[in-house]
Amino acid sequence: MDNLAKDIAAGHGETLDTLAELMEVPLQERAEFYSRLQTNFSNIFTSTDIQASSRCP
Amino acid sequence: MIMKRGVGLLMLLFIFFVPAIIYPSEDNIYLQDLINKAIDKKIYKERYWYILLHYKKSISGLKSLVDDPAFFISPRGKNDPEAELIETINSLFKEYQNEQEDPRCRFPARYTWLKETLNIDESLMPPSACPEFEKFLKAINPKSATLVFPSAYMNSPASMFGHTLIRIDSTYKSKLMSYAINYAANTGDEGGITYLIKGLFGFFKGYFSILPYYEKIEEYNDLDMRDMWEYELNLTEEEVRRMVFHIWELKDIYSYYYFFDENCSYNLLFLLEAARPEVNLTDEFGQWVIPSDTVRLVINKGLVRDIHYRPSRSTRIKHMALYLNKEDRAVAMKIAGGTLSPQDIMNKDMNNAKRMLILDIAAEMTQYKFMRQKIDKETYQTRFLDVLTARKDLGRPEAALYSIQPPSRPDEGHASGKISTGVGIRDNEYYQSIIFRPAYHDLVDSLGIRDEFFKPVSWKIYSGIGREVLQDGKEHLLYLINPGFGFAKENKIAGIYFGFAESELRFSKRFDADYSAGIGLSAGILKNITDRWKVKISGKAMFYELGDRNKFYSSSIQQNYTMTDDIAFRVNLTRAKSYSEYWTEAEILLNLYF
Repeated sequence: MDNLAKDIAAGHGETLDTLAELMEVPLQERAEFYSRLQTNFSNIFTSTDIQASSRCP
Repeated sequence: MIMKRGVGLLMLLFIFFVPAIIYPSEDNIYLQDLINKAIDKKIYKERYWYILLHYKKSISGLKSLVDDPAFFISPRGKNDPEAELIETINSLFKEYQNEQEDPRCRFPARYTWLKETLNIDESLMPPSACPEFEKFLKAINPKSATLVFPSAYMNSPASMFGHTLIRIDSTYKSKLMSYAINYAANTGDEGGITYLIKGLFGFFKGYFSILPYYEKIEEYNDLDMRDMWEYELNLTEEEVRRMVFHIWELKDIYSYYYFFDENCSYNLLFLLEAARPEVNLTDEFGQWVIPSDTVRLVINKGLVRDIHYRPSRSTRIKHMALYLNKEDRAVAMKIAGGTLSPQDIMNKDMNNAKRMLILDIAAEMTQYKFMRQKIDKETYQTRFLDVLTARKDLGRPEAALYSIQPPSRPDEGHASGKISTGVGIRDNEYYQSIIFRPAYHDLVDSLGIRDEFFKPVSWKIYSGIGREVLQDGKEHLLYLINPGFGFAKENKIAGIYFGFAESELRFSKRFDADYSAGIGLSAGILKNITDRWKVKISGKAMFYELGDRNKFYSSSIQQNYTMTDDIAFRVNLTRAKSYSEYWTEAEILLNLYF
C-alpha cells in the first residue's frame, strides 16, 4: 500500500503503527523500528512499483 | 421487478419444500411442543422478533421493511410475524445438504434468540454445522463497535445528506484492521436527475456490505476528502456479537432504498437495536432520516462513550499549509505537479521542518492527483517515489506540527429541521412570516471553498412553497424549485465570497400559463464577525423569460446571531425591483432548530 511507503518515508503514521502492531513490535521499540525503516527506505522500495513491493497484510 | 420477485419466490419454495427431511422421524412430538409453546407465549409478538425481521406498522398494516423474499422462511413472512416464526421453528428440524440452506447457519441471530426463548434442547435437533459462518465470525473477531459519520461532501449531490456506517472493532488497536458495515443503494452508473428520482421513490435496491475499514477511509477521507467522525459505542462484547449475527443474516439481502427515510442511516439503526433491544431507535423518526440526526439520537440514547476525529486529506493538507508562506505552498504544488524536482528544495537554504511540510503536502497531492486520474500510473509512481526518497532523509517531524484540532462536531451544530417565525415591514406594510423547513442546510452551511490546492464546484438546490408579491402588487402563494452552481473563495479579511449561476422554475395560479421560468446570477460575501455573528451581503438578478415574464433584481444584507445551538436570530434588509416596481423590506426572524 502506498500509504505505508509514505509513512515509512515520513517516519510516522497510522499505517506504520498498524504494521508495527501486526509484527508485534513492543511500544518502547517502535521509535527505533520506524527510524530503521526510514533509513532503509530505498532498500525496501527499490523500484517505482510501490504497489507490488509493499503489500500491506 | 415484479418478474424477478416471482422467480425469487419460486426458488425459495423449491429450496424449502423439496429437499427437506423431517427429523426426528417419529411424529415430531418435540417440534410440536415447541410450536405450541411459542403460540401459547405469543413470542412472535416480542420486540426482538420484530427487530430481527424489521417489522414495522404502516398505513397498509404490519410489514417488514425488508423486501427480499430470501429474508423470510415463510412465503407470508413479510407481513406475518406468527407464520414466519412457526415456519422458522419447523425449518430447524429439517436436514440440509449445505450451509446456505440451513436456517441455523443462515439466520444465527434468530436461531440464538429462539433457542434461548424456547429453551430448545439442541440434542433433539438434526445435526448442523456452519463452517462458513464460523469463519466469518473468526475473521471479524467482534469486540466493540463504532458509529462512523463521514461529513457531507459538498461537491456531490449524492452525498448531500451525509452518511453513516458502523465499524466493528476487534482486539487490534489499529482501526485499519477493523471492518466497516455499510448500507447503500446499488445505483450502478446512474447519476443526476435519474439518480435523484429513483432514490426518492425507491427504485434502487439497498444492500449491506462488509469491507475492510481502511477501504472506507480511502474512499471518504482520501478520495472524497470528507472528515470522518467516529463515535465509539458502549456496547458490550456480547451485544456486538449479537449485532454481527444479525449482519450475517442481512448478507446479500435487499430492501428498496428511499433517500429520505429507508436510507443508509435508518437501516443501521436496526443493527444497533439487534445489539441492544432495550434502546428504541427505529421509531424515533418521522418522514426524514438525516445521518447527522441519527448520530444525535444515538448520543441522546446514551450509546456513545468516546468520540474521535479523522481529518480528510484536504484537512490534512490545509493544516500543513498553515505553517508555510505563499511561496512555499507554490513550491509544494510545483513538486506535486511535476514541474519541480523534490531534490530542488534540498539544495535550497531552508530548514528541515519546512522541507518536511512541503514534501508531505507534495506526497498527499500526488496521491490525490492519481486517485482522481489527473496523472497516469507511471507518472504517479515515479513522482511519488521521488518525493518520498527526498523525504526519507529528513527524519520525523514534531508531533505537535501534525496534530489537528478537531472542528465543531456534526452532532453539536443545530439540528437539521427548522421553524422560523418573525415580523417584517415592506413598503410601510407590516407582515408576519413563518417558514418551515423539514431538512437540511442553508447555503451558508454548504459552500465548497476553492484555494490553491482544490477547486471544488459548489452547488445548491432550493425547493419550497412561499408567498411573494406578483404583478398585481399583492402577495400570492407559489411553489418554486431553484438549482444552481458556482464557486466560492475565502479571503482572510473579507471572508468568503461566492458567485452562483441560478435557474428557477415557479408555479402559481397567478402566473400567465401558471408558471414562470428563468435564469440568473447571484453573488455575495459571507463573513463571520464573531463565532456567533454572521453577516451575508448579496445581490441577485433573475430573468424569467418563459411563462410569466419578469426581471427581478435584489440586494440584501442578512445578519445571523446564534443564541444557543438550537436558537438563532436573523435580521434581513432587502431592496428589490420586480415587475418594474421597487420595494424595500426589513424583517426580524427567530429560528428554532429541531
